[in-house]
Amino acid sequence: MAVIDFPNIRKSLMAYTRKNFSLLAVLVLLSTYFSLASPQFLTLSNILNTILQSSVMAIVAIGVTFIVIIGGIDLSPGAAVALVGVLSADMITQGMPVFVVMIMAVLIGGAIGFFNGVSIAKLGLSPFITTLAVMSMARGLAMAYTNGKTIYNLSDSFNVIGNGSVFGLPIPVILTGILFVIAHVILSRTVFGHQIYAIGGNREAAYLAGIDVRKIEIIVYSLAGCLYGVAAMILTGRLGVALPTVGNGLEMNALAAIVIGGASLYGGKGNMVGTIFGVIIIGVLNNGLNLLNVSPYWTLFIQGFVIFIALLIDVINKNKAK
Amino acid sequence: MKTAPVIELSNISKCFPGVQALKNINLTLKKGEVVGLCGENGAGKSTLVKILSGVHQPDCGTIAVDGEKVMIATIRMSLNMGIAVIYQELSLVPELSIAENLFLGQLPNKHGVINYNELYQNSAAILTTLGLALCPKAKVVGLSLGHRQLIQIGKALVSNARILIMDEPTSALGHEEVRRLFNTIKRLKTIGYSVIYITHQLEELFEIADRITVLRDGQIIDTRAVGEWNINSLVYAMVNQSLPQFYPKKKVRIGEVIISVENISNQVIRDVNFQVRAGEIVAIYGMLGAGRTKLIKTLYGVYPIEKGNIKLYGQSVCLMSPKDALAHDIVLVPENRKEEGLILDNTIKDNIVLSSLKKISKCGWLNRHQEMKFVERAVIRNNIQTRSIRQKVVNLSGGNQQKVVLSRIAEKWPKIFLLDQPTRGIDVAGKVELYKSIMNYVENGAAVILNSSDLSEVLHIADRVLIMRQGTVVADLPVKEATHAIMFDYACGGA
Repeated sequence: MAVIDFPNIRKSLMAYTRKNFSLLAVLVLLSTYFSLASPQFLTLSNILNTILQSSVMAIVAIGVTFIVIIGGIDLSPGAAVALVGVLSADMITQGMPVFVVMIMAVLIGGAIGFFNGVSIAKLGLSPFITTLAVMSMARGLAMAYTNGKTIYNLSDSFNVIGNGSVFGLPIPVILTGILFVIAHVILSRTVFGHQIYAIGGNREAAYLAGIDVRKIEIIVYSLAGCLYGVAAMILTGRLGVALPTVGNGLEMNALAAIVIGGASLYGGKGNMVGTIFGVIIIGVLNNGLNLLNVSPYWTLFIQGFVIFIALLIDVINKNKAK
Repeated sequence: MKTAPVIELSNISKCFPGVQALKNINLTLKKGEVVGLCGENGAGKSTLVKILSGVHQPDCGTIAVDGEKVMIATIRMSLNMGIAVIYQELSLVPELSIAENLFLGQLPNKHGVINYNELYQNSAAILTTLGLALCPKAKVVGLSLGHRQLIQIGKALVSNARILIMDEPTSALGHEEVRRLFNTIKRLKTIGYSVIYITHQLEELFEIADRITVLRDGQIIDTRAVGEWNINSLVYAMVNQSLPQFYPKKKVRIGEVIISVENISNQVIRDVNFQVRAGEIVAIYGMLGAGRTKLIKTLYGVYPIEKGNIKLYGQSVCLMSPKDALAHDIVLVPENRKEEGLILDNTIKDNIVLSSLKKISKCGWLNRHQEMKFVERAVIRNNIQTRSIRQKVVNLSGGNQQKVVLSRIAEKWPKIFLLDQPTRGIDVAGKVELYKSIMNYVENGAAVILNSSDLSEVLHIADRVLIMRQGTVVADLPVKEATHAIMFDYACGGA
């Protein structure tokens, strides 16, 4: 019987906090600045709103964190979210039960991830190129399927995923929290998690140590795909409509959050707690810039700049390790 | 006429925070001389090299080049004085030709247009100096590692180096390539080049060096002409204790046949036949490209078998992947421990349990308690020297790293060890420790298949020698009958 080891969890939480101290500092600095600059920033509704707005990015980031740790990259999540979004919206308008549509959304997302995984693990294509192509294909399919038009009139019971709340907490936030905890436990406590770190750290050594590298890679990409499916439902539910153009730049935001959280794009390094911090930092940044009425064009520039800095830090850390 | 030594170090000392890396080093290198430098890891060899190459500056003491006192403040200054370090990692551009690589950065040109005639002529001259019969127009990508190393030396010659510092130049080379390197060094000596040769392969020093200097704990213990040393005195000087048994070979009872290889063929090996019994160490010897590593990886399930049979305890088995091999208690210590053996950034613990995650978990959940027991057993069994099992393996010595790879199966005694160049680049004390670990496994009934380019290792550790040529085993000799000459003959196809 599995007994949950409380003191150990507390110890490891403290260890993570220490490891992520600089992230906490950045977050505090950023929040202090925005709260001074905008009186609305520190209101409860704005905090909840920030978390709510970040939930789609957060769920995508959970999936991509697995991929980054295993030494891969995924550029397709934004397009995958759009494709799953329009397909599930269409199913809803055709009167399919919400429950079935939810399962389908996760499965379609998983199928996109599976396609990525098989191309990379079995066919030996590079993750960057593969997922770039899949990004284009998924976006193209979403546009072709809807003819570029928006799908309206979704059922209220579907929109609950994005707008509903339980005990005052928005469902997307609850869902994000649950997924984060599960992902964290998988990474830190299971054989599967161990194998992911090993493959990302040294693929050849992991293979010679008897790990089924290809199988694990395919599972990781598929799992990430399933999470894109969940993210798509939340986004569609929140918007109340399905657009084939949504999710643009989602992968970049997610990758930025992950790299800020301390994962390395060279693989083998990273953890979910770091990713949470990264997501919150990006979320606060987006929200703060929005409150300060910074033009969306400049917001885009600043986001790009933040990603650039995060990548720079990643490279510097790698060189320091040598 | 007496000329000043090309390099003279007087009373060089260097401190790093907390460590006296070098203390009162006095060393001379004459024109046309090869000085061998040996010592355990951490003895100060690399610090000395870094001082000569301008990476570090000494805290005190003087350096004289050609009798003149100099400061070597930068790498560029060191190069300008004619000092070149031939690094283990090769810095060649594979897709360019030999000539272009030799003159990279200083291609003969007129207003930016390359003069190819001059380039090829100059390159041919350099290749002749190196004693290489290669076409300057050939691409580097097709060259063997040994040739690439010599091209690297050629690059140093192009930049007018007169003093070559070679740090473990043979660690990745096969036997015949080492010969070629030595021939080149001897040739360079006669035309006035000087060499500082650093290695853990003590036998090599007796062949190539004029004098041997031993470093220990940052100090020079002794410098003597090569004729005044022997292996024992050298080892004693290096580790300050006589190694009672440099090769701790023990008499072990030979048991039943564990692995029986019957006529196996695939795209890399053909018609290989042999058996190994419990308690036996069988070495594989052969030239580079004879298929030794390929055979070992075939037995580990990396290359599938197309024909023939592998039997364990008389039962045919199908090894389709390393996972299958491990399931049959076969452990591989691969050729390049850093690239293939270990996940360097991970901890000792994580590396040890890598192949046995299923055994320390239940339904996919890791059991911390079982994990600890597993790791503890592995560490004790192989005497892995570490402060903590949470230390990263990248910080371990080569010998201890190799023991981590050996420990992959720790819940029982593994049956078969496939060791591919296990002691390469490992210092003397580390080697002895590793041999002890291996002997420990053999005493507990393991069969060992050892691929080694180190002949004295083969002759002292193994019970039998398999000699490979062109992907097949051409001879299977008891070690008593195997001499240098016989082995070489078989390996080259002379016998």
